[in-house]
Amino acid sequence: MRRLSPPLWLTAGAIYLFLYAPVAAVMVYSFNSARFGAGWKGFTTQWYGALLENTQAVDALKNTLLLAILSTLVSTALGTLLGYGLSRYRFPGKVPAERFLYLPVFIPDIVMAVSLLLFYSLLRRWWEFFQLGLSTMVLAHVTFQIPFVAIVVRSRLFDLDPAIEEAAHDLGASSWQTFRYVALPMMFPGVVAGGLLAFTLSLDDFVVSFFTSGPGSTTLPILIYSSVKRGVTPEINALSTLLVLASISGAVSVMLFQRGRTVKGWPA
Amino acid sequence: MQVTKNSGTDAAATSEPKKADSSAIELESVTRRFGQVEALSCVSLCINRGEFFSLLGPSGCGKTTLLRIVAGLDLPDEGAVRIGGVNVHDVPAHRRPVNTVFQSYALFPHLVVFDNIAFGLRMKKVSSSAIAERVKRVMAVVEIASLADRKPSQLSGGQKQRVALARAIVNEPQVLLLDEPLGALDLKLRKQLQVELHQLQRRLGITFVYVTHDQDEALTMSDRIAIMNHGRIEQLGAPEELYERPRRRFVAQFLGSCNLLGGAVKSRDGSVVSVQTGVGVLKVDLGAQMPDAVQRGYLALAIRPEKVVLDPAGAGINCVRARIEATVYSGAETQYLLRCGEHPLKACLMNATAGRPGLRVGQEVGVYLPPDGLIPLED
Repeated sequence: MRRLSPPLWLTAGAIYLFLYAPVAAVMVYSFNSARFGAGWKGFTTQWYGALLENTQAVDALKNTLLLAILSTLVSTALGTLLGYGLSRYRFPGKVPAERFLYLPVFIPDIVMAVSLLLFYSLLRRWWEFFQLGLSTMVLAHVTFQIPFVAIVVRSRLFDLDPAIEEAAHDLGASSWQTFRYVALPMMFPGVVAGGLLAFTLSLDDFVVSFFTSGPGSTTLPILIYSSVKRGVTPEINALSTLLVLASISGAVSVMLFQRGRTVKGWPA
Repeated sequence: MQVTKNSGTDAAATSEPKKADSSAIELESVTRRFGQVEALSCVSLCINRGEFFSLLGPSGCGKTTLLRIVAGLDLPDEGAVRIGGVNVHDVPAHRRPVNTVFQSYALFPHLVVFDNIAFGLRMKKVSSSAIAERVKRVMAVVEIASLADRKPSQLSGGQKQRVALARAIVNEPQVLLLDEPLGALDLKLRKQLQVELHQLQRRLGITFVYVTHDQDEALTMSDRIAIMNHGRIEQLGAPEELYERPRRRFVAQFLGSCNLLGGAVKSRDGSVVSVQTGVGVLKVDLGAQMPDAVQRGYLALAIRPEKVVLDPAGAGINCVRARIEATVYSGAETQYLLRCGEHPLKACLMNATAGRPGLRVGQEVGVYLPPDGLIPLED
């Protein structure tokens, strides 16, 4: 291991400062008792208490969680099937299907958001279901979550010997039984990791949510955005802090789960 | 008792099991292509019930593809496969009365040994008390009774192999397919398991179809062997037959080592043919068989090194002079690398019958190629 020279060390330090200082500031100020301004007036947890009484914030939290849970359940199920199908079956059009799997990951959020908005308003002519609200938001989130889940599941399957599923087949398991009793348990760590990733993505999504939301379906990121326009309040700081913690715990769970699978001795 | 007259369909139905009595597996003109490559070219084959049958050949010869087609894990492009007399074209892998031991073992990593072995019986909805009893019995047979609660990752290579075997035979299949099951093990363990597998097959009476590229393994274990090359069966027969009477150059060279000699047919006297080979004129008695090549005036001959006789003073029919270029001592036997003119020859002598004076490197010796040791080849 080589030693880092002082100029490099300083650069690295500066980069980390730029990355984390703003988030740290928000977290620190959420405990500041001053209602306005940047001056420190003493430690308090009153803003967290105030959040609980703020019905707007509580509703937004409920919406956010409902949206994240529903969309994660649907996208994890569909993404798992997609990842499994792409890595274990041969079918016409497989190659384009694999290529297009990555597209939603690269498409800018704003383009995705606008196109979904247009698409839903088109469909709304015939189906009431596409009235903007929680239902369209769930649909939109599922749309951008599926590729992430499928990619994580597929990379997990890549490490597993396909002969194991053939063995199940050979021992009398139908395709469904092979999936249920052999493939799914083996790729389960990948499914959970994909699901947690999808959950985290939904939790802090702003752009797609903003475009596909309707009256009464405000989520935390949207609430924060609209509140900030009237000035940053300590309550917003508290709310942001909670959101950061939720996202971090999601990411940490993914890492722990992926590490856990090697510790538990899941063979490659 | 009065026998009622059978209708036509009944007669057809009864003829099927009769066929099934003798043959466990029949392949009829099976062809399998991968893109431009023919992995199997019109292979026909009949494997008898209860026999230990080996598919032997170099890697890429199509032996594993053939096994997978029998198992139903791959489908032939042309031809028919019958298991126990029944055409299994439309029978998916999970309904075929065969089980496979995979080269990589393919144990279920998330299940303990007991559940791995019980898997097939559970899929067949066997009662849990019967499962417990049958799994226990088969674990005793392959001597892994103490490993029931281990995960596959906690097993050694040899133990995994036994679990894979137990997982297959617990289902009492009509045919057990084994795809190089000992390939990943070290030599000593391999030798030991060869003996065990052979005994197990005799005890269970299940038809074994054994894929291997190891000629010793095939020779020591099999009732019959099919030697494969480039998607075709080169020759099929009992081990002695293949070793003593190879019909083709590939078989002679693949199974054991041999000297290949060939040349123009000089004269024919009944069944005795004189051939002008690279080491001199050799006489060989072809008996009843007469390869087509003789008609074209050419005959290829093979002789095993252990059939070559070294005689310092030798002279006469089928006797040539050669120089000893090198000797390779390997315990029980010694190999002599000879050169007769430009032509290399190999001889192999057992050291137990030693006492041959003065066989030293550089020395000239007489080499006797006995007519009954010379094998005429078809190509």
